[in-house]
Amino acid sequence: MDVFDISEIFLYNDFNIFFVLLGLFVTAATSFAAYDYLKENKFWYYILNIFYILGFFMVITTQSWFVFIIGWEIVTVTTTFMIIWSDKKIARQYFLVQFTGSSILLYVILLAFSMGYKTIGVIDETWLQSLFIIGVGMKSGIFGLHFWLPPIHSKAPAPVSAVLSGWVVKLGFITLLKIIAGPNQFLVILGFLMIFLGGIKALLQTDLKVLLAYSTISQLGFIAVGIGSGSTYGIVGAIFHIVAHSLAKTNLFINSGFLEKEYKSRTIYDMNKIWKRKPVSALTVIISLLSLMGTFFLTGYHSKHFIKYAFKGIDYLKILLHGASILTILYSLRLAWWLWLKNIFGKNKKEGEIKKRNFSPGEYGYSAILFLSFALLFTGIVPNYIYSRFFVEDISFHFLDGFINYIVYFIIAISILWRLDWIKTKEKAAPELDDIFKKVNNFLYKISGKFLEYDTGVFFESYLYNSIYNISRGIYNFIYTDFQIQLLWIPTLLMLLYMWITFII
Amino acid sequence: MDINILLLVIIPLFTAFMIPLIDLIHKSIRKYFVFVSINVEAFIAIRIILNNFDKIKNSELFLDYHLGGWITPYGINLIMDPVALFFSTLITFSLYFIIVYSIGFIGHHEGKYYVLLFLIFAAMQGTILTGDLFNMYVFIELIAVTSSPLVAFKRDQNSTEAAIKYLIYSIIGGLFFFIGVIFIYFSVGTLNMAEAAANFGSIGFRMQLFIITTFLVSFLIKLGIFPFHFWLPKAHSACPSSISALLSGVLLKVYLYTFIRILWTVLDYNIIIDIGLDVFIIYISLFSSLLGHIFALQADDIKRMLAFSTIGHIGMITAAIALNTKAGFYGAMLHIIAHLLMKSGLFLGVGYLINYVSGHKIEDFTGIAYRHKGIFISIIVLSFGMIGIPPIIGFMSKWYILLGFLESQSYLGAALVIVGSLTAVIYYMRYIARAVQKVKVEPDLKNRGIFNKPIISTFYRERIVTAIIYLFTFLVVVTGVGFKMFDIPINSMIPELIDSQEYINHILGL
Amino acid sequence: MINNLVFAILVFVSSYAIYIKRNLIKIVIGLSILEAAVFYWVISTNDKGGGLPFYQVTERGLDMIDAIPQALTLTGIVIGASTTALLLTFIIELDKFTGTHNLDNLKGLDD
Repeated sequence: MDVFDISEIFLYNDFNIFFVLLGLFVTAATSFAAYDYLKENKFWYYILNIFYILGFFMVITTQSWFVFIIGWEIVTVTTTFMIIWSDKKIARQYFLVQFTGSSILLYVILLAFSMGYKTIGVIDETWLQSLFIIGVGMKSGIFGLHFWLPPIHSKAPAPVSAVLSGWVVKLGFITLLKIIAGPNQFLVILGFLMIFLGGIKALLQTDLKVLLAYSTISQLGFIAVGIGSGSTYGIVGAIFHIVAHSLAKTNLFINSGFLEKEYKSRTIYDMNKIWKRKPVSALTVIISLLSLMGTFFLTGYHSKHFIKYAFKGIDYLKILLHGASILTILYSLRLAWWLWLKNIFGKNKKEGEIKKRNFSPGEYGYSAILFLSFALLFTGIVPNYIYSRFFVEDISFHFLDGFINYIVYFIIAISILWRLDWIKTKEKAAPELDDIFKKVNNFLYKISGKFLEYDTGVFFESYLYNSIYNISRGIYNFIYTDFQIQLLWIPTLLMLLYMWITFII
Repeated sequence: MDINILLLVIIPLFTAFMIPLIDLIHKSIRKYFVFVSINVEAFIAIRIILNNFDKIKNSELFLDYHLGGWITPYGINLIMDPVALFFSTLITFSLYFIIVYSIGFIGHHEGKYYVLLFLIFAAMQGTILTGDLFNMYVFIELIAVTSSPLVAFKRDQNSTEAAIKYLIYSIIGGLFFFIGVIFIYFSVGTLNMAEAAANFGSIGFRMQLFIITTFLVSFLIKLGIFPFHFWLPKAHSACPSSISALLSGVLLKVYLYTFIRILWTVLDYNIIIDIGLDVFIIYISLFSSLLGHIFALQADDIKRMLAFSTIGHIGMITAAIALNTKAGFYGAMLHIIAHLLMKSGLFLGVGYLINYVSGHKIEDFTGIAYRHKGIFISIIVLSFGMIGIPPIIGFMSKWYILLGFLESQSYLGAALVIVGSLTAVIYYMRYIARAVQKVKVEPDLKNRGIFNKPIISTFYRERIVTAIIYLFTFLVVVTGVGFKMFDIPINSMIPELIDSQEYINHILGL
Repeated sequence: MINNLVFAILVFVSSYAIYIKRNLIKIVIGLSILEAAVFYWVISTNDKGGGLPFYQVTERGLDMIDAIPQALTLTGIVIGASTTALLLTFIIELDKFTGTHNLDNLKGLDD
């Protein structure tokens, strides 16, 4: 009817083109890395990649809500199929979660559409902005709807994890950048919750990919805080952090795949002195971790600094941000120690020296991770390259201020970790999406005083589907009783309608 | 006086009566005769569209035919206005594909099958094209009488029970329709739809409400809305798959047409809005839709699951129509097209795949994706369409229905549509996941070559059947990408639905 | 007046047969009685005096009655007969499979 009323569907301004190019760069890196990582059916993987690129191109550059949601559904479907390379069960759970997010987003978009917002632009009402935050929440890992992120991102194959965690979760925040113009308290609160939840959980993990997934949640919290602050510094910081985190996390996930294949396990305690067996991976891992920590010649520094500067006047938020930075440095340093520095001065000097390598990433893999690290260094040393695409006025980068802050954090973090013996926790199984539902269900039953034992049915394979099946069968048995009682609905309803029109009207 | 409209009804009737005679000559000519007949019917439908193409574009199409030459209040006339043209074209083309599929699919008792199928075809065309109330009653009862032997076609216990239940509900529904027609005759004095519409305002208020409620209950029984839906899952799952596609995809749309025609054109919908009955219709349809989706979660049989999904979608369409807004009508009409294509395609595809397993419970569905990968990919595409994933037409119709609900500020309705499509993900994914599980094949079964044979024994029949399923998939994607092509037909229908004065003027003025 | 009362009684009797009796044949009989009740009501409402069923008293004396309800009733009787025949055929077929036409033993109809 009136979906194509606007004159242009696609808008090619600097903002959109920049993000499309960034997405292309990151996706190209993962495709290169996947060349030697995946073994079979590589042709279909690259076809899916092409459709995925088409999908996020539509999401970023369009002005019409209709094309926007079509693009996002294409991204959902293609990434679902990309996960099948490792496990079909995870693909099914991922699709269900993403589709829930899409449905909520579709509802909110049509709500905005029927209120008069026919194109993607700034939305004035705060409650509508908050609904949009919930709408993109399930797809971008906002707090409260983030529960699916660690199980799914850790079990997907490594290039796909890089795509998911490096770019797909950012699409929601890019949209929020277009929608939110002023300060939004809801987003700031959610952002801080995400930072601390992700960071604390990341400190306790032993599985490399689960740790990186929790780190994703934490860093997305920074972006959320930046957008929600409403000031120019906050938005600049959010944009820089999108760039920094995409490049760094893609790099880390690709390397996690390489390391997993080399050491044949995902626990970080098994990977010692990676600079001996995989020197290129080790170098790029360190560069990415340093960027995450906010080291001053990498992009992560600029983003963290700007976000801190955005809250210049408000003291308690600044303290929270200092704490957040220390938390990030804590878990990054812990990871770096376990991968790099453990036993470097100790007794087992010979540990980690093996003659034969188990897995070689191939030249495409090497080029992927090296290009990503180079991009991190480039945007860190020349931040004006990005900044001049968005804003025309000058801004100062406050190098000295940040440098002092960074050294203080670093010293605090090293002292804490040294005291706690670099937090060697016990290994436990990777999180499953099913366990969460089992806990929720048991909690609900404990409240009602009973504890139900469901027998694992023949047809469903997990707890969530079993409980859905049993609930719906309960409703079905309640309504379907006997043939004549089913027939009896007809005269009942007829008599009710007749009596209503006789006596009430 | 356009005789093409009459031919649309007469040709299937003629074919149905000629088939036993053709059987006497030689049995194998039967399918060629059937094929020629549906081609003639499609040709006539295309000729009607091409002859009146300018009028269709300006949305002033109006054709009629007076049976026996009697003038309007005294005789039965067949009318084709934009609404009837839309539904009639849909019926013609979807039945074309279903009959071609049946040529390949049905292996036994073909003569009886085709006779009954063509009688249903003629009855459906008659229901849509007629302008007389009692004529519509006769055609609706003809549909009931000829479709119940088709439900019991397989001649086993489940099918016969399904036919009994279906027939009892149809009889009761038809009886309420008859009571409504009789009351209109006793109040207004005429059976012609246009004249009844013109004089309906002059009846007493109580009588108007009584007639409206009686017709409403009759339609709710026929459409399968909540308290009266009990016949639907059993009937749609116990019949052969092409009949399932016919009943679930096409027949319910004919009943939607009678719902629209009687409640909007003949009776006055504004009375329903004034007394608040439309809120009742909207909420009971939405509740029925929610229950349909919930019941589909526990269905162990794939055809029962698809039948419950039909209850869900028809409830959604009825609620969108009952909103009486432009956006609601647009979404409902687009979803009629979408649901027809997708559900027919699903039933036909599933019917092909389960042809060689012993039953259609979920245990038999394990590993069935590897029997024929192309058909299974079509089933995945069609299921994605039912869930609402672009670029398949299911997404576009979901967008417009949600827009219709949100523009009328019925937030609960929109939320129920969203919840419905979410539960659809769960129950479709359950069967798809079960189907791609790898099955251990015992070595001696593999040596016997049972998995290398085509599913239907004769080669050309297998080709026909798979071609039709691929055609439905192709149509679903093409109409999804080019959904704007339905803009002109649907927009020409909407003014006439909201205000029925033009219909009355065209008929009575002639 | 009395025809409305007879109609109501017949509807109650048929409802008793359809909803309470457990034998399938009795349900079919109930449906037939329901249809017969409607037809009876149509014809008797159309009766405007005049002694014979097709006469009515107008100002011109005895005149022919309005014939349309009777035509509708005839059509309805035919349709009712054919549907009843179909139902009974299906019940016989069911009897061949299960040996019973009592609803207590037929649990398949509840599904």
